[in-house]
Order: sequence, then structure tokens, then C-alpha cells
Amino acid sequence: MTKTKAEQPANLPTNLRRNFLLGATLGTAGAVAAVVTGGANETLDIAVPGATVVAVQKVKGYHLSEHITQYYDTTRI
Amino acid sequence: MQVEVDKFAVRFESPRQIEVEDQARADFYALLASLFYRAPDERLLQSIVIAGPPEDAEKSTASVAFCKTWEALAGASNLVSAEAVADEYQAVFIGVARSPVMVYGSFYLAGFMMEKPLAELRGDLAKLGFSRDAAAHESEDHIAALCDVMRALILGDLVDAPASTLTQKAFFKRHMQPWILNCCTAVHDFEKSNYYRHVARFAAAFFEIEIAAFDID
Repeated sequence: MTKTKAEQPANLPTNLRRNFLLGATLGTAGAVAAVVTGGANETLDIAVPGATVVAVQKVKGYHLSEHITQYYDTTRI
Repeated sequence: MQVEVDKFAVRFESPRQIEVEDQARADFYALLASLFYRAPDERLLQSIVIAGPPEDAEKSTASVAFCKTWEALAGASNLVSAEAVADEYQAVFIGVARSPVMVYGSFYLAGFMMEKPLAELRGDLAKLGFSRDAAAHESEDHIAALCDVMRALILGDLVDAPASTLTQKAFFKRHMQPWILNCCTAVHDFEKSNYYRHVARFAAAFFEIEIAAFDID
């Protein structure tokens, strides 16, 4: 499968890296992993039962919450 | 106990087309996130059993280690009960007064929980558009949360394209690579680890591949 041009990340993996990953079994292990996880393709907003865990969630754009700000304050030297 | 497993019961179609090796990486990150976040239930144990071995494509050292550890994990999943693993999870990761085995980045990087590395992680997560799920009871530097972030970076979502390899690499190198193998060793070596000894071996084999692959770029 190939990505459409618009969806391609700015820095594509090199062929060398792809070949390494494929050679290191990750190419052929895809079916194995898909059976176990059911194919973890869900968006982060969906809490999927079973194999996946959503510990963080995606927010729109940069997000600096009050909680994070307070934490920064506690760690300031 | 045998459990009926619907292979694709929770399958979601990705809005993106993902390269096969990246899909596998994302799925293994999802699996590791789950195994470290909570003890596997019977359904997940049986899913690991029926998944079968990956094809050993090139007989490289990394490939052989990966296959062997996966087969050992599958074998252990076939022998153990969910109740026994739940007890083990409690003994290894929860404990009584404190976690016997720490799976938090801050602990390995700074020697204590909730330290400066966690604050730096939170800053980077915010820049990447993530925030902590209010329902999550672990901090963001928990190994499961970090695996979950890697999965999300690899796959992207309806809004964002998959993160570039450079972004994935930067996140992994800064927030996981410095301590992740030490964490796997700690889980493996803990005297009460049994099933999780196999999880730790498999996780280490997978992370070794990730480290080597990121070093190629």
C-alpha cells in the first residue's frame, strides 16, 4: 500500500530503514499483531475495549492546561 | 479455559493507508500498552495464543530474538490463567505501599517519580497535541502511556497524518530509549515475575528493533 502524496509525512523512512524493519520480521508480523489488537486503527477519541489502552488523548493544536502550568511551576529551579 | 475469540471484533478501519511494517509497529505498541496497563483478560491471552508465530524472514539476530520471545509469550499465554496473571500484575506493578517494579520514565531518568523528566514529557506531549486523559490513573511517563503515544504517532488519526519518522524518532529517543530496556530488565528480573518475564523479553526484543531502526536514519 502506498500513501497519497498529501498524506505523506515530511520525512519518509528511508528504504534502508524500511528494509530493516521488514527484515526484522515486522513486515510478516503484521498479521500476528492485527489478530491480537484487532488492528489498532482507531482514533484516539475512541475508547476501545480489548487490547488497546487510551492513556492520553489528542487535543486540537497546542494545549497547555492549567494542570500542566502548575506542574511546570513546581519543577522550576 | 478456552474463550471464543472474534479476531476482528474491535477492528477499526484507518482513515490513512499505513505501510505494513508501520501497522505492525503500531499494533505491537498497542499490545504492549495493554499488557503493561493492566493484566490481560482471557480474551487477550487467547488472542496471543491463536495469533501464531511471525514468519522469520531473514534470520537476523533481531528477527530471531523477536520470533523466539513472541513464541515464548504465546506459549506462556496458553498456560496461564487470567486470574493468575492478575495476581502477578498486582504483585509486580502495584504492591502494597509502592510499586515493586517501577514502569515510569521519571524513576529511571531522575531516580524519583513525578520528577523533571515528566514535566519535560508533558511539554513535548502538549506540542504534539496530546493531553492526559482524565480517566487515566497513571501519569504520562508510564510505559503504557508512552507506547500508546507511539501508536498514535505512527497511525495518525482523522485529523492528523501519521507523524514523520523524524518526529517518532525524536520522541522515542528522548522519552523512551534512555530507560526502556532497563525497565524491561527490572520487570524480567523481579522475583515474582512469571508471565511478565515473557512480556519483558518480548518488549525488549521489540524495542531493540525500534532502536536499531531509528538509528538507521
